[in-house]
Amino acid sequence: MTDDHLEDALRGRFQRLKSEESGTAPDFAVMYARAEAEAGSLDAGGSPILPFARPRRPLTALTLAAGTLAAAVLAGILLLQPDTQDREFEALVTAFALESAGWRTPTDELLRVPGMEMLRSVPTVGWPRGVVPEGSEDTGTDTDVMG
Amino acid sequence: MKRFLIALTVMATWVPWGGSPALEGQAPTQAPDDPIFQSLFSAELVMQHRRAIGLTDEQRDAISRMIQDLQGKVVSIQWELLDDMQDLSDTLQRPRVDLDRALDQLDVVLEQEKRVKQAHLELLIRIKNVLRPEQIQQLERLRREAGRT
Repeated sequence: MTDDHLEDALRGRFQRLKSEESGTAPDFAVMYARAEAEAGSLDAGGSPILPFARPRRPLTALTLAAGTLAAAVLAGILLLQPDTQDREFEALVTAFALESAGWRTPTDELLRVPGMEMLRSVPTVGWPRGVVPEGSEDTGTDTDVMG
Repeated sequence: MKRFLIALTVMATWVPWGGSPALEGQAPTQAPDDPIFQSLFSAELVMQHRRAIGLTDEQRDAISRMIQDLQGKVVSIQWELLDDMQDLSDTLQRPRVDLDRALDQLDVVLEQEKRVKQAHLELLIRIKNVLRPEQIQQLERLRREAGRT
């Protein structure tokens, strides 16, 4: 087969393929005209209608309310944080106070030295029972020897 | 069994069950008649009046950390003290008590008690140092007023 003959064969096959597909493909001129028309048009708000643009839905009262509620809940959570920490502080201190109130050292009794109680309650001599001279300390004990 | 009963007895004098007889019937806001406590403020007192004195979040968190530090220290000391008291108790129970041994063991016990008291005093001092002068004055006034009621 010569080169010319091959070329003719290829040209023929290409033409046949082109005519087969041209039947199903949309007309280019029609498509171009439609795209031009869409690009040139504007919506009710004056905005250009872009190809493949989704129609915009206006914000409804329900959407606004839901957004406000979500914001309020988030704000509430953030504001309540200090109260939670405050309660934790209170619980910690209360538990510690109860714990430390019961602290007694095992050797405390060793501080109760025999005889020291007697030294703290010196008997008063020379005054009737119940009479405390001015300027003197009332020990509040029953060691008054005047009876 | 005997050792267990002794340990239980020792724990009853040390482990914080119930209230201390010294504080029974005493309002928590009153300072005990004590030169140490009269000048310092318990965490409980600060907590009760935290809004009145305007305790800040930073101060509150600092005090919380101090308490947790103290609790950690004291728990470990308490266990050691329990063992040391057990040793002293064993020595004292013998018919013939070794005096030197008993006194040495008492020294060990007293050293543990000292550690607890030091840690507690450190907490009280740190609490006071966290407060501002005006907060200290307010607390003193509030404590005096509570003492009168």
